[in-house]
Amino acid sequence: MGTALEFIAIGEDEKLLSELWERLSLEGRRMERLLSRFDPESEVSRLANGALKEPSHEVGALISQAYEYQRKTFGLFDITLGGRGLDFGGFAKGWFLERFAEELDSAAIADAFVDFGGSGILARGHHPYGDCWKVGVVNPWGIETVAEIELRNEAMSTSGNTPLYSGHILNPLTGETVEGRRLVTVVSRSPLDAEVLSTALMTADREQAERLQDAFPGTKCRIYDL
Amino acid sequence: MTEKNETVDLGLRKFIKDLGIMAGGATLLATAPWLKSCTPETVAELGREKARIGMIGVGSRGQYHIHNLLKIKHAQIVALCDVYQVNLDAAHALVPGAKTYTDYHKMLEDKDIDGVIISTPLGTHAQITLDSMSAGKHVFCEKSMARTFDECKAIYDAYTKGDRALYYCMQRMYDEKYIKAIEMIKGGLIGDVVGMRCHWFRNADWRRPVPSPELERQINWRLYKESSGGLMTELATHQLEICTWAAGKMPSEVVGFGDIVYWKDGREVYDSVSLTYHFSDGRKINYESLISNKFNGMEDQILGNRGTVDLSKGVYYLEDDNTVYGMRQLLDNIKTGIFAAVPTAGPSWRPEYKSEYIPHALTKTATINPGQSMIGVDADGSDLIVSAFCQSCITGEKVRDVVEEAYCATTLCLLGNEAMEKGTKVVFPDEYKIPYMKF
Repeated sequence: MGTALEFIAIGEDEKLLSELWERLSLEGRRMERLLSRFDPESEVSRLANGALKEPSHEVGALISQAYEYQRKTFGLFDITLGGRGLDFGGFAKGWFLERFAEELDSAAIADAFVDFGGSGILARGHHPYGDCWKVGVVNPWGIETVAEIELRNEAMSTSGNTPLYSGHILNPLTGETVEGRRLVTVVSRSPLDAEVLSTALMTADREQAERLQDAFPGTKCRIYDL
Repeated sequence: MTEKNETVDLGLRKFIKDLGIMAGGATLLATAPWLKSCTPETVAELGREKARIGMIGVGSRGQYHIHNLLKIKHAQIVALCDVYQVNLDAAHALVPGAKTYTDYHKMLEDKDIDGVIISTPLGTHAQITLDSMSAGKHVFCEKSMARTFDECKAIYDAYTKGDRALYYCMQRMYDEKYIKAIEMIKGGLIGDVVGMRCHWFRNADWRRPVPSPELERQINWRLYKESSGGLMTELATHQLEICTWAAGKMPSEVVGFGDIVYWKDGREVYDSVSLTYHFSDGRKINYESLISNKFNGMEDQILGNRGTVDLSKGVYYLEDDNTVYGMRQLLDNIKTGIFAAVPTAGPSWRPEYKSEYIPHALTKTATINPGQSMIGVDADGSDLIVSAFCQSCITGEKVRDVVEEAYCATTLCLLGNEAMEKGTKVVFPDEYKIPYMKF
């Protein structure tokens, strides 16, 4: 997935926390081997280049789930990029954060903040000195914070272009890359919903954006055209 | 801050432990060779012995040292000397068992004194230091070294020819965060050192109340050229020492402006200075001090092509920082009890849009000195350097580099004052160069 993951968990049992960290690190590396498009030996790479004909059970389940999201987003979210390749990118991130949330629950850790490369955030419970976790969304073209968002047992996903990293988001329906200074944030109970929706909203027109939000009730979406 | 029940002696041991001075601490000892006389072995050797200390000058700074000495197990204050009775009485109340003197010459005749601690006006440092060493005493003197080039050289020559230990209160040399910083700079943390910026800003007139007019020059000695080099010898001296320590060499010339901008109260020394010290390789130290505005506080910045260290704050910043931006800040906020939005969310994990530098702590437990006290602050290394001096009083061991560093720093201050007074560029005079200096 070629990204960095950091998390802060609040708890008194240091052993429990370090065991959790160990488990999640292992899981992260395992996911990387399955899903990274940067690794030519990953299962996804081998599926994409035809070296592997059938996906494993786990990746197969992931693919079916991704198809379900494709249907729900009327094609705006598509891991096959409209048949042009295979990119689990954000989807893998969301999926991993779902796993992370389950692990936090099973370890009974109430307060935690997980940052998956800045674009995927999972907040559990609250900051030690506040009643929630607050994040600032930074304008990639400027220095200012465009929004402060309070998270309460929610996940947040951010998609967009940056001055040095533009045109990486493809509209699966048209095959065109998204240009311009758009930034999307989505807050949802589900990290995967947030991830899928923020990607889809990058390519959505106004009417599509409204339909998307209707399809995912309870999510809070913001689109910034900076 | 030292714990109530913890002595400075213990502080010294902890300090050594924290810095990892062990048999294998070679890098550290290369950075700060003066710590060699502070190893756990030499501390253990002291056993129950005590250094018998005489205090010359027991004003505010002298009393600050007394408070530290009272916590040092291997120190005993046996004599106090001051020409100002008010100070002498105050110090005597702190150390009732000590003999009192108003003439330091008389005190130096006392064979039961191993070492003296001099906290007198700068203009008197040289004579008292030379007399004390002649009398066979080990000497610890406040910074700066002396008021003139000739005095500094005379002290340096007497010290190198003699066998007495001599210390100057260059406390940053014993301050964990400074030592760690220099070690990391020498280890390549910020790449090549390309420049230095230091400043010290306060907003106070530097005056002390005077009970009767004839005491003005005695009490407010910092304000008069005869006894003081002003901002340079009182403040810049510490910071210039850091610069030469980090650069590993001396600047060869200096230009600057010095003025009395605000405190036009009859003082003779500048209340505003701005100087550029120039090294032979083109690097520069930009130095500024002003005592009618404290907005900028005190900073000692060493600039490298890959990062910046601010030694006074105990932090460093990297030019190309791969740290995920917001999480560090969030962690720092939690540690300091701050609940604030963390600017962590962005569309890409790469922090290429980062516009602010991330501060990284140099040590886990650094005490930050905001630089506003005229007397001294806790845990800035002053207690440890005094403890090391007391150790030398017992072992007779001369400490490495402390006199040399003080000589370098003081002569640079004096050179700066000369440049400002003349209004021209001044080159470091050959006759005052010592082998320790690299230009």
